[in-house]
Amino acid sequence: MTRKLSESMQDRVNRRHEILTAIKEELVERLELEFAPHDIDDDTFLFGGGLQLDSIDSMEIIIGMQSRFDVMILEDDVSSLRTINTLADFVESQIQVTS
Amino acid sequence: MSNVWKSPLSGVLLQEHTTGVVDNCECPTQFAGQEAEYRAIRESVGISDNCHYGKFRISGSDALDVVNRLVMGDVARLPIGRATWTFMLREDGSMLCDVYVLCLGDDYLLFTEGSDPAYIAEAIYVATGDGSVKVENLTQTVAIFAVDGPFAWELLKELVGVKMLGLRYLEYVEQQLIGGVATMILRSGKTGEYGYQIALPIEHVETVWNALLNAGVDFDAQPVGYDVLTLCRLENRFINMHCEGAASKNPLELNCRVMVDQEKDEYCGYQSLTDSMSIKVENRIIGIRIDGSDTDVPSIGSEVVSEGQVFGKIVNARYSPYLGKPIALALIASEAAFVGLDFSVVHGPQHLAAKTVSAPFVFNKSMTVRPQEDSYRNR
Repeated sequence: MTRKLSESMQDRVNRRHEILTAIKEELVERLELEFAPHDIDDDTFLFGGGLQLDSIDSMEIIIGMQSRFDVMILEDDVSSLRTINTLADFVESQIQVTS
Repeated sequence: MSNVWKSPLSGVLLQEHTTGVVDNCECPTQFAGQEAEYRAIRESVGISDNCHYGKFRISGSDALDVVNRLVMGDVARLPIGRATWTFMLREDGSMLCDVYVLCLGDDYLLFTEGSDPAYIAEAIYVATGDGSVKVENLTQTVAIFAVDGPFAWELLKELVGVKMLGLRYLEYVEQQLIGGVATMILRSGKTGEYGYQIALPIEHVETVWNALLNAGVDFDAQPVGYDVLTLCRLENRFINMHCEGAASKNPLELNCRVMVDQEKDEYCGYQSLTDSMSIKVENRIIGIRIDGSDTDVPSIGSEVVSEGQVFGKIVNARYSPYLGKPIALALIASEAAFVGLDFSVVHGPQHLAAKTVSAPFVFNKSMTVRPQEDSYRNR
């Protein structure tokens, strides 16, 4: 079936995709993950199952987001540090505030 | 399908409850009611019967090879005392069940959920081939209870000691006495809160169940049924094999790509999954918050639409007490499976406004509870 997203939805998808890709690339590079960025799904959990990161990695993620997007995640903001998508939610919210 | 069997707990339960059949096992689905049970899991402790799990022990010199032929993840690197959570697939790549694999050394324990254990037993016997292994189906001889909640660790600390505080996610300990009965405790769970599964010989279900409930009095613990467990599972985005698991073609559609071990081969479903990984996945699962109604929960199979075009369908949906709104999972065309998009969900004559959102739907109290410092009594 041929489906087409509206222009505004496609813009939204493109913007989100760009941020998600940048986050995945940053995590793979910084944490030396054994996955390729495209092998990490957007809703992948960072800790526990999923990427199986630990508390030391969380500091690296915070530094990584600051370095890549110039945004500061507070150390106790555990709600942003749950999945790739929650990281992207935070990055997007900060970029919107700045712009 | 084999004959439905009754959870051994059903013969000894004093609490009023309803039952249902899960994975061919008749087990408790609700006790005091969803509201009280939900509150217990999210704020204190919920105690539940997981006897519907399939339980298998695989031993012998080829046990590792056989288990690795059965599951999608790689078990070879699993140390003694640890477990992994993975899937058993069918040849076409679809999911048969999810499974905790516990490494006991040369032997492995499998705790499965999502399919009749009789089917899983068949898959295991096929995988054994000519291998030198012994397979024991413990489904009806071993019971599993679960303790979930932000203070589940504290209840178990009272019963078996401070070593519970050091037990990490997917680690297990054996010979833990509860009510004088030796149990195995695996830290795991599908509610997003602290969770532990307690395995014990079936003849001791009454003793251990009552010991858990008695210790739970100080924590306002409640017996909780399967219904509220599936609600918490959805809120935290743990896969429900009876909903999104059954609706998807393979684990790739369910955001499980990182769970696929790409160095391992020759497991059931490998070829189909590998073929799927080389092409773009047609649909992907995504969370949906129903903003158009506080009460209307869409039916499974409801269409997800935008501007008259169908982009996917609902595969799981419940009312979320945490959000005060219905939530759902939808399998959506991959090009549209992104957070922050506005859709409508067809619900009878209505089109409910809905938005795609990040996993999980909730923020768990367990994220803020520190076992070394906090206590339910001082909360």
